[in-house]
Amino acid sequence: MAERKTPATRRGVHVDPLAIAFAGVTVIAIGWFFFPPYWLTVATIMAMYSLPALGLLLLLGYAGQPSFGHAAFFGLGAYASALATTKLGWPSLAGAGLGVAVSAISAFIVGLPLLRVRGHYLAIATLAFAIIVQGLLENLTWLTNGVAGIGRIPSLGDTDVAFVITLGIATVTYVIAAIIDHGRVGTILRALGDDEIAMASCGISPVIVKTGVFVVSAVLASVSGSIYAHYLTYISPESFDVNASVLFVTMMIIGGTGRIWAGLIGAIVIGAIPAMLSDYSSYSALFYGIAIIAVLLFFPNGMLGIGQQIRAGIRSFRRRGAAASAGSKPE
Amino acid sequence: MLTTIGQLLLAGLMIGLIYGVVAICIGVIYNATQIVNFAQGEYIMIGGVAAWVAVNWWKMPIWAATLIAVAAGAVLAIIIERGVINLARRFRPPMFTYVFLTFGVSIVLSNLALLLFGKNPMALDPFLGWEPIRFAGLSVPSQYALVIPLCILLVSALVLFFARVRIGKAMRAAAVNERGAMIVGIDTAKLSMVAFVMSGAISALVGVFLTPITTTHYAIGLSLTLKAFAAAILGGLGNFRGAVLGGCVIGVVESLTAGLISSHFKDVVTFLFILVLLVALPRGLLHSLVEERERV
Repeated sequence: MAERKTPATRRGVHVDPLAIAFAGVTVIAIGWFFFPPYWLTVATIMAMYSLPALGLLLLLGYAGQPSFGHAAFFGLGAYASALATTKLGWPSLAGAGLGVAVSAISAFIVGLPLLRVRGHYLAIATLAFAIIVQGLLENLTWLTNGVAGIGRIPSLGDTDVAFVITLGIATVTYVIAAIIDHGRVGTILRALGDDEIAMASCGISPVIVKTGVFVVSAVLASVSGSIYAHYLTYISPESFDVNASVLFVTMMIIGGTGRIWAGLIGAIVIGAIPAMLSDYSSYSALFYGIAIIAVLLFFPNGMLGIGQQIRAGIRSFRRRGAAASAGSKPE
Repeated sequence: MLTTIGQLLLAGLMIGLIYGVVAICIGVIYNATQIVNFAQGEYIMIGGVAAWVAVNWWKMPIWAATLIAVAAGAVLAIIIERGVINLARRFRPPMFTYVFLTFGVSIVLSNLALLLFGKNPMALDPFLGWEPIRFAGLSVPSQYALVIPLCILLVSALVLFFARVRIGKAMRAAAVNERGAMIVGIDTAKLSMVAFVMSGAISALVGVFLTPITTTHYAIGLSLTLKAFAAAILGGLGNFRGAVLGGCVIGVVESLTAGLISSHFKDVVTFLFILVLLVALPRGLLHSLVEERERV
């Protein structure tokens, strides 16, 4: 059974990297001078979440694989940063690098064999991996301090500094994604979505490319986790449970799988929700579940697809109207 | 020591049979629709919770509570099949859409249970009383003596259903070659409904019987789904005997880890085992119907 083409792979991604860079710098500049502190924190969280959302988007859009366990890589990044800075006294960047290395290696080990077979294995395996990581974080008390968590992680700085750093990282990431998408790697990635067998016959292994995408998505989640640790300065295993994975999946689905910046849209929508629903935080998981179902059932291309869907609706309405008026006139 | 290991093996086999039955339910849906139902474990939770409500709120006897639970599982399956799965079919979406959809259903069901019943575990009394049964030098909780025959009965009934009953044979035919099945007049849309309802009702029934042993609460579903799915893959997706075998292997590993190493690391070791199995044996131990379809 051939893999069905997703809209993402057919349409391609093609977003101008310059446009993204310009937009990012503008938001940073405006935010720096005009945003009140509360908005700054919300925007920082949005930028932080946009990284794993992008990772899942690439994974699904190109490799056609869902992952329900990216909270594990998010958690590995956060704990690597926290442990390296508090216990080993490393600088933050080295801690984040450690997280990236751990995440990339574990993603490679899990992904390489599983992406070889088709089906839903990666979804299962990532969930299992997330449960393992969660269990280790809770029970390796000598290393992770168990459910009590780790505190006194060096902060990113004041609210506005954290905002600039996080948004800067997000902007650079999206610009790189857009540049890569325009280049040879982007062509290879799209070939993967169009015709795996033809691609393999050109001498490019689909398994290696898929594994590469999976590793990249894990790295993005890990970087986001490192930011999270330094931003909150306190982490506990609770923050990296299934609900976090659900959150990432929800962001990706809300954004839609069409373009690179769909991840950004998902992150903005989801980042804005806690700000609106702050009194109902216990309902948030329920809300995410309902959002996943509703978006898939009624807006299968996510928020990005809504405009298109409306346009198509209007067009078919007009056509029907024209047909009706043509039918009423006797010729 | 030997009796401890005997006890652990028995407990592992018992829970493994449960995984096996849920794995079969996942396989039944997969064979009929090619959909992997990530919400299957939630039916176990729903079954237990429905029986708990019937016993504690409505003061019903356990047999009536069991009927209520099975009905709840079946009705819920109908709602999900009609209201979610069938609604998605009009787009003819790629397969992973169904993975996300059923995952969303799982999140919604477990969080609804959390909202309605809170985080406390819900327990039922063993159906035959608290007195354990002495068997071959082991003291066996009386509930085991119900769960083990029930699972064996369910598996045999399902095997017979797919071998002898007309609609069961139709489901097998559709699993091997959907288009061919449609050509000879099999209504595959109806099969989807039958598969969901059957799986929902059976999982809920198992959930009721399991509750006196493990108790139930809102969060048990996802990990049950995972273990059952691992059992299904291990046995070859769609292969019933394989699913039971896979379930028992996973159940025994889990039980031995909890008893001999540490109950804290129970999930870590079990899922590590599952992950290694997925990585090492992605095509399962036994022959699978899916491979047969690929050959067609």
